[in-house]
Amino acid sequence: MENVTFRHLHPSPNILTPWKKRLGPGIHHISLDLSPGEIVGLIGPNGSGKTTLIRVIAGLYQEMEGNINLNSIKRRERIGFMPEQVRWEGKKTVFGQLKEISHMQNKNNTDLNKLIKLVGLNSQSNTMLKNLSQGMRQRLSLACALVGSPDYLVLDEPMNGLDPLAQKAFVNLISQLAKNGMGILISSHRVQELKHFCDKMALMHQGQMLAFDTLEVISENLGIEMKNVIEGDGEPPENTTSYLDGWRGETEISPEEIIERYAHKGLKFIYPSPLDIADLIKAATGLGSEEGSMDITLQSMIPRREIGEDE
Amino acid sequence: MSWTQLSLHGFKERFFSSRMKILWPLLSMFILGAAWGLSDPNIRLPAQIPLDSAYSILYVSSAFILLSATLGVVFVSFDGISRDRISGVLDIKLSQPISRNQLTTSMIISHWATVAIPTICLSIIAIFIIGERFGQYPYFSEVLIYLGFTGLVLLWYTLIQLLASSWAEDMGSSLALGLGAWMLFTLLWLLLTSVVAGLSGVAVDGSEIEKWSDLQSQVDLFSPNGLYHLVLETQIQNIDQRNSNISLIIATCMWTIVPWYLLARRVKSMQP
Repeated sequence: MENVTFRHLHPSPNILTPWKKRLGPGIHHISLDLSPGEIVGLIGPNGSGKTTLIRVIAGLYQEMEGNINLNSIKRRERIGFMPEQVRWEGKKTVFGQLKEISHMQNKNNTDLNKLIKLVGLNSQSNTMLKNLSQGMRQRLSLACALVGSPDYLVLDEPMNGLDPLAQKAFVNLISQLAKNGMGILISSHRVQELKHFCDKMALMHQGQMLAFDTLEVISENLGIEMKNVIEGDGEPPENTTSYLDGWRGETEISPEEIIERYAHKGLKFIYPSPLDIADLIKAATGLGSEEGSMDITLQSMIPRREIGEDE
Repeated sequence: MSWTQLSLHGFKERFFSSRMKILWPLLSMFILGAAWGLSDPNIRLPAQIPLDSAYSILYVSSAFILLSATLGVVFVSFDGISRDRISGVLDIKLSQPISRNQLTTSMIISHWATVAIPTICLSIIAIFIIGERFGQYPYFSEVLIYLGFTGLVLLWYTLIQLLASSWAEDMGSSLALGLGAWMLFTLLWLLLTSVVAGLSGVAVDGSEIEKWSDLQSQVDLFSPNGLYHLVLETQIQNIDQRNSNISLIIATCMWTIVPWYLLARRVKSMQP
């Protein structure tokens, strides 16, 4: 996709002209490549436009500007879409639900039992939707996205609500699908969740793509210095915080220097500090964590207004 | 054809739902009960409506269909779209490669058939009850018109309710919209007709009965219940027809095509 723009249309607040729509927040001039077998992580804080971008790619929203290689119906044939947190309910069974989706794909020869087995729901095939746990619901959503063997998969925050064990199983499944040649776009607001298995990362903020590359290159380009966390016992050294059972701090100096400087002060652990979305946004935009993440409002997602343009 | 399979799938799901377990006995009591009671040779109706033929019994019993089956459509379809929207399932459905027109058609047919099939089956049984108790069966053409337009009036209510469900942001609003429309057409239409008569200068106290009847028959074209009865009246000999057949055909086409088109357009532009 190249230079794609989409903005939500909001009803006019004017009571006399409720049919009029005005442009709201959205995504602006997004370009993204997804190759077969590649996993791209889409990261950004809440309200950065990840879901909107994913819905545009899945063919749910029609792009206003720019170009996506496939039209929306072709796109829906070739792209499997898993929305965030579907609340499956009712007395329909897992198999029945997948059967309904396969009718919508017009692919009645799809081996649904194989698909159910693939996502790890083979013992739940005849379970009613209302009796599924959160993890099982996520697996069912993934199975729906996989009906019809799409070439690409777009997953909107699929790890939400999953316990660590289920997350691991989910990552294994995603990696396996990518190995089989499926291009996968997966969104999250947690960098740590994606960095181990994504080939590339796309960083989004306020509806715009700030960076698209491997996490190492993005970190390097943004000048993010990897920090180390240090923990120890005894009297806390300078720039560390005291806890009941010792002290903890973060430093940019190398592990060798850390050992030299802190070994005699009760140092027990050194490990790389996890990179989070706030670090990336701060480095890319210069905004502090409060401005960059917590203070995101719908208005702040809209680019600066130009003369004559609706806000 | 994926939409036919999808319709069948949706129909099966709704037909065997808990709601139908409640609706079946209600429909049976209303439709079969009305046929049994009205076909009693000694019955005297308060408004002195003559029940002198099998078809006239069928015509009067159609009021019970309007009280039960149309309400059944509201209860079956009120969450047809809004529930999927709230739960997020609509995202998955709209992201499938099926065309939105086919999706709309399958939705309409599955919801409609869920109530229409039991209603038509019970109506056929009702015809046999009338035949046995009254000693006379309606003509085949009369039965066809009765069953056909019973199916159509249920289709119109299905379209209205699905439109309400697509507009509403939650299931409560959807039910309120659908039930409101049902109450307007079933219980409040006479009041609306009186208001229109008052505004048109037609007396509503019975002193201008001809003018009032003309106006009422014209206003009834804008109500699915009114149109249903106007069409059924065409088969009764001793009722004065005030609407031409052309106007009835146009109203029938409009009630079928316009809401269908609006729903198809709504689903086409629908975003999760």
